[in-house]
This record gives sequence, C-alpha cells and structure tokens, in this order.
Amino acid sequence: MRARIDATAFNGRPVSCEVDLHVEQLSFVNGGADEETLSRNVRGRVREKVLGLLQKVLPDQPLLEVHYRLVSRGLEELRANRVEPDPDSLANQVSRAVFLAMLDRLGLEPEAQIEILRERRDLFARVFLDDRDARVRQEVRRLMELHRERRFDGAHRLLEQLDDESLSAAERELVRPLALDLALRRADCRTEEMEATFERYRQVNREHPLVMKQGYLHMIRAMEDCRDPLAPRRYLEEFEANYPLSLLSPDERRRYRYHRGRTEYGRGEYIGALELLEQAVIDLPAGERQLRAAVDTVAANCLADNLFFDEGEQLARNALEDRLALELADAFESRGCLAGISFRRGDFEAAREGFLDYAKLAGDLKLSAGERNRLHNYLAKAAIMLDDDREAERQLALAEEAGDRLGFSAALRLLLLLRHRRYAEMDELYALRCLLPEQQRSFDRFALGWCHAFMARAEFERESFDAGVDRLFRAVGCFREDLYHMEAAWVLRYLREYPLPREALELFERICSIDEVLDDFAAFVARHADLPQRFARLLPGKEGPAVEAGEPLLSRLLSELRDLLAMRSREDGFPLLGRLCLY
Amino acid sequence: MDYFFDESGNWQEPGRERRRLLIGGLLFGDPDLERSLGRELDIFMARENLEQLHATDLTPARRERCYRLVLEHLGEESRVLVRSWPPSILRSRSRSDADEVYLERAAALARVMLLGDPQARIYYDLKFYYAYPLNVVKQVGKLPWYLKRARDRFVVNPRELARERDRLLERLEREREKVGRGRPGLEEFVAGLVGGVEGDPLESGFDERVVELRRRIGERVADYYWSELWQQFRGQDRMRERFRERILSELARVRDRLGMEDEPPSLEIHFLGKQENRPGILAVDLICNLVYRLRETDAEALSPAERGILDRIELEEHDR
Repeated sequence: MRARIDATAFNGRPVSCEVDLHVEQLSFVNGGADEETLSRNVRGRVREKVLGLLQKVLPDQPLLEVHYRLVSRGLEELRANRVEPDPDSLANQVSRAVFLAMLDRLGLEPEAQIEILRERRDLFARVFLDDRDARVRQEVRRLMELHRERRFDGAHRLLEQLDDESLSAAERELVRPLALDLALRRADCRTEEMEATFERYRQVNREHPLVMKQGYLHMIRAMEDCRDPLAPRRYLEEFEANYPLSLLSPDERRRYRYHRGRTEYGRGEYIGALELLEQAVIDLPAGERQLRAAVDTVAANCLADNLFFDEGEQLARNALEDRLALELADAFESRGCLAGISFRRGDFEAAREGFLDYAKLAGDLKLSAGERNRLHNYLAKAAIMLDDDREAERQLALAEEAGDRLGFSAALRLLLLLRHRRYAEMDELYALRCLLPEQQRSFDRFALGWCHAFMARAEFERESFDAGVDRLFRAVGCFREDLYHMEAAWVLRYLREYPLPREALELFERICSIDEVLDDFAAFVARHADLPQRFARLLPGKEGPAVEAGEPLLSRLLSELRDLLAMRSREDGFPLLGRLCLY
Repeated sequence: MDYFFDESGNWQEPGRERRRLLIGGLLFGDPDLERSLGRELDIFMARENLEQLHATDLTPARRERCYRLVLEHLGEESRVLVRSWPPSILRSRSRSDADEVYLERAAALARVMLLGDPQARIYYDLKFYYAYPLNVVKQVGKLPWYLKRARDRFVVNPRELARERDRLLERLEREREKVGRGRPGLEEFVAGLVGGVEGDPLESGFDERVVELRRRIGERVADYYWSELWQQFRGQDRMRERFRERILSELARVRDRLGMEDEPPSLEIHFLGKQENRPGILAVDLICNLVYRLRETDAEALSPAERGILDRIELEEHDR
C-alpha cells in the first residue's frame, strides 16, 4: 500500500512524503523482528496498536506478539536522504498496512471492519497461529525439488496439477516465482512472449515484494540467457526503482551484482562492471563455484577487451574448469571467451580450435537465434583469417540463416570479400545492408563501424580516396558513438598504411580531428591501464599484494598509433599493430 | 536558506591524494548566526593582521580561535554534513573524469541538504580548474570578438617577459610529461616560445631578427594568458549550469519517488572564493579541514573546540 507520512528533512523543514509499505510474512506466533526497517520505538507503537485492536475482537486468542517483515523502497529513500519520519505518523500507517495484510491473507475485502474477525476466529487461528512449515504441502515441496534439480519438464507437469486457488499464501509465495521461471524457459527467448508473461506476473503480484523479487531475478536471468545486453538492464533498473535492495538475501545480492556487472559490461562500462563483479564475490563462501565461474567469465571478458590477455585467460580458464567440473551448461561461454582472447592475440589456429570446442559445448543446448548467429560468426571469422574460404562461406551462410539482426555477419562477409578484392560485390552488399537508415538504426554500432572500416580499406585499395575518407569517417563516428575509443583510434592507421594523397588527408582532417580521437583513446587508456591492479581481488591468488605492473598493451598500442600517425619511425617497428587483431 | 559547500583533499590531481577526499555542506539555519560570525571573523582578522582566512595556512593557535568562533555560531537549527571517500574513487581517471566524479558527489550532498527547501541559495568555493594547458593552447586564437579586441591592445611588460615565458614553459613541460610528447599543437607552441635561434632571444641580441622573435614570443605569452582567461570563464559558466541541472534533477527524482507535492524548489548557485571572506564559506572550509586531519590526529590531542565541532556535525564515510 502507499501511505502519506509526515517527516522532517535534513535541513529541518517539515515535509510530507508518500511511501510504499508492504507487510510480508505476517504471523502472530513465530518470525523474526524487523530490526532493519523500523526503529524500536516505531515497532513498539505498531505492536501496541495492532495487538490492542485485535484483543478487543479476539479476547480469547493467545496474541502476545506480532511478527512481520516490512518492505519499503520509500523508507530506504528517506534514510538515504536523511529525512526523519515522524514516529507517530509512521506507526499509524504501518499499523494500517499490517491490518490490510491480515485481511488480504484471510481473503477478506480491504474495506472490511475489524469486527468481522469475531465471526472468522477459526480462519484467523488457522492462517496465523499455525506453524508455517506444516502448511507447505507435499506437492509444493516436490515442485521445488524438481526445479532445483533442473528437471523442468517434470516440474511443469506437476505445476499443471496444482490449483493456485487452493494454495495458502505461504505456498503461493513459493510456487508463483517457480511457475514464472518455467514459463520463461518455455518461451525460449521469444522476448515478446517473455515480456507478456512477466507483465501478467507483475499485475498479480505487484503488492508482494518477496514474490516480485523472485520474479525479477528469474526474468533478469532469462533475459540474460537471450544475450541482449540492454534487456536485463531495464528490469534491473525497474527493480531498483520500486523495491529496496535490503529485500535481497546476501546470496541474492551477490547474484544481483553479478547480473548488474554483466549488463554494465554489455554497455562497454568496464570499470563499473568490474566494481560490481568485485562486490559480487566479496564474502562469497569458498565452495560457491558456480557464481564464481560466472563472475570470472565476465571479468575475463572485461580484461581481455582491454588487452589484458594473460589475466583474462587465467580467469576464463579457471571458470571453464569449474563449469566443466560442475557440469554446468554455460561452460561454452567460458570457452568462447578463451577463443576470443586467442583471436585478438592473432593466434587464429588456437582461436578456431577454441571456437570449435565452444560449438561442441553449446551443441546440446537450445540456442536462441542470436546465439546461433554468434556461434557461426565466430567460426566464420576464424576461417576467414586462416584463408579457409569454403568453411568461412559455409559458416557465414549458417549465421545469416539464423538471422543477422545486429550486422556482425554483414561485417564478416565484407571482410571476406575484401581479402579477395571482390570490390563490386562489396559495393553491392554495403549499399544493400549498411547504408539504409533502418539498418543503420538496427545494426550494432560496433558491427556497423567495422562495415564502414572494411569499405574504407576497399576504397583506398581502389585509389578512390575521397570515398575512402568518407567511409573511414563514418567508421570512426560509429565507434566513438558507442565509446569504442580503441577501435576508433585503431582504424586511423589506414591513413598511413595506404598511400593517401595530401588532399585526401586534409579532407579527413577537416571532417575529423585525429588529435581528438587519439585524446579520447588516451583518456580511455588512462582509465583502464591499471585494471588488473585495481581489481586484483578478482584475480586468482592475487587477493593480497598488488599485481606486478609492466607497461600494459593498451598504453603500448596508444604509443604505436601516435607514432604511426605522426609518421615517426620506431626502433622496434610497430609490433602490436602488426600482431593484434581487433576484429 | 543559504547553504555553503567546500571540500578537502586533492580532487584536482587524480592519484595524488593519499588520505581522504571530502565534501562538506553547512546550513546556519538562522541568517543572523552567519552575520554575527562574519563580524567576529572580521575583528579576528583585523587583530591578527590577516587578509584572508584559509584553514591550511593558519597557525594551530589561530585555527583554534577560529574553531571556537565557528562552534559558538552553530545554533540549534544549524546542520553540517560532511562526506568522505577513499582516493581510489579518482584513481586512474582523467582530469575531466575527476571533475565529473566531483560534480556527482557534490550534487548528491547538496540534494540531501536542500530537499524540502523551496528557495535555496548555494555558495560554493570553486575548485574546478578548466584551463588545462593543452586545452588553452588548442583554443589560442579562438577568442570571442570582445576579448579579441582587448587582447589585440595588450602587450606583456617587456621587463616581465622572460619570467612569464619561463613560468609558462615550465607549465607546458609538465603538461608534455603528462599527455605525452609529440602533440602537434603543443609542440609547435612550445617551439615558438623558445624562439628557435641559437641562445635565448630574450637574453641577448638587438639585431632585427632577434627583436622580431622577442615580439613574437611576447605575442605567444599574451595569447596563452588570454586564452586561459577565456577557458576559465567558459568553464565556470558551463560547470555552474551543469551543477545546477544536476542538483535539480537529483531533487526532482527524489521528490517524485517520495510523492512530495509542494512547489518545485528554486535554486541559485554562486561560486565564491575564500578571498571573498564569506563567513559561511570560511566556516565550512575550517570544518572540512578539521575532518580531513582527523585520521592523522590523536583523539586526545583534539582541542575542546575541535571536539565540540565534531559533536555537532554528521560525518558519513563512504567506501566507494
């Protein structure tokens, strides 16, 4: 329920605030005191009011205490802003909330008068004075077991036999989130269906934060499985806006931080992601390897994306071992991360082997269309770099068949054509797939950036320099738009690697400041160059002393790019520009 | 109501701070208290023959006297909130990012203090520094017309030229170390200040070429300082606007969440320096300085006035 309470702001001004008050786990025989949310003073006043009222209508019932858990995002907000609620005003509203929760649990209308309890004393005793565990029936326990053992088909069959109407309130708290999880799994990444399912769940359970909490956690997990980095973020934000984080148990809070870290990674916010991942494993019990492996895989990706290959590899390898040992389905994800590191290092044979393993591990799983597209893209790009054209063609065809919604297959096809100087086909594909506004909107900026970059190379190779400058400018724009500063700086190398005439260089300088692109990359390097030291606690065996710091590849890459673009020669040549593969 | 903010710790140079980073806010509640404190501080400064009060520059005895005055002027309705963070919140951030972190933390503190006040005035001791040499050099020659007109009529005093030029070269050298050598604009600007002839043209020679070089060096020094002035103006305006927007949006978010139905607040922001001797700013500077030194100070060694102030303030220590 929402209630208006009087309060005093930090500056002493009286304010009137509206807060949500959800009373959960109401009982008159057992349960813990709500130490966190309410002060002792307010709790005492609520107890006095509620028991006083009940004793008037149920004088023969042994009511000595009222136990409940109060969940309120609003009260947390007040605390965070140092707004002090007036104790009387708050106690009145909490007492009302307890009373309404009691009527709800008894199946009575919220408008019912307290006197009605005289006639319903038996119902009251059954609902509130029974031991809670005894009221959870056998089938519900079995359902929970099946779900825990991931025997989802069996759980689903059992669920169909249960009648929601016959469940007690406590049973509903257990069963509804499981039912949602099963429905989400059956929707198999059909996001519209998943969203509709969740919306129905939300409508029914809006006033029950504990049930909603479980629902959100299932929905976020399900959305993550569909590999759309933005989708879970929406639900995470929604949860944070409407429910207090104190609702989460320590274990749930860790998982929640992991999910948030993962979505931050999806947005390219590496530091924010690593901070959350670090928080997710603080105080993690030693035996909890499943969450640890999931955290390690995302952290490995963060580090590898910043060219910390050794540290990334170490984490991903540990995660893979743990996931294989625990026979977890997501082992393929850690394997893919390792193969990706080999690819960036320029070790394409190892990358191909890794991607094949990845495909094998993912083989038994029900992959979404996006996941299938990604899998075949990985295999295609390794084949392209190894000049295995037939395999590259075959994998690209499979990737395109799965649906190239984000444009990664288009970029790879352009790369394949570029390596064979099939420029006319590139022109056609580029015009058809990359230049139409609707595709520019739907394609991932990173993929689109590479499409433009490969076209820039094609134009430069054909000595069509003005067109090349145009494509390169677009590529840099796409990368910078999505904060891929390393890639934006990386593609500037083409300005020196192709014999651009002075006019073309001047044209590029007029539309795009090389200094600015390099400055942005330099700022990025300054922020990310010490990630392994900053997040040493995430690295195995590095919980105590800081990681040894050599000059990170990121800084070396920046220095090589600066020298190349300033046309300064280097004693060591340009080893990173020659070796690394950013696509 | 009037709110005063200041900070302690090195927010300007990410990675340099070793203790804590702080931001503090003060509300007297009763405007007479601030006025009275102002009178007392004026008398104190006159007696001690001080032009300015800045906590870090005061002797312990003078500081203690100031703390006593501040404590005497914290009334029932006065509120002080100081937040502190570890230096790691700035580690590895570029300077513009560090400004962003500062802005975010300062706005969050202001939100807590201002919530519920329909008409708030903020007085802030300005710490942002916008005119980083690299930016200044980039903007040379891009003055608006009214400044350009003044610039065109400005000449560096020839007697000061060598000193000014050397000071500038030192700053630019530090900048080159930070951002890396080989920045085209910066390198050329530095080369122009040195002159490119054998020997230093500012020290010797009167032939036509050297005189011309001297003139050009003078022009460059002047260009730099005018460009710096322009960057400071622009930066302050921009930052004030962003700070204001940020506080208002924070307040709007919280008010919306808490269903507060009173009129949306109006907000004035004034950036002041300590040299302007506004009592509220001086008081919050002293308080922040006290909290900043706290970890290094033995609790037994605190004076009664220091202990009295610490009892009156709300201190929040944040981990991140």
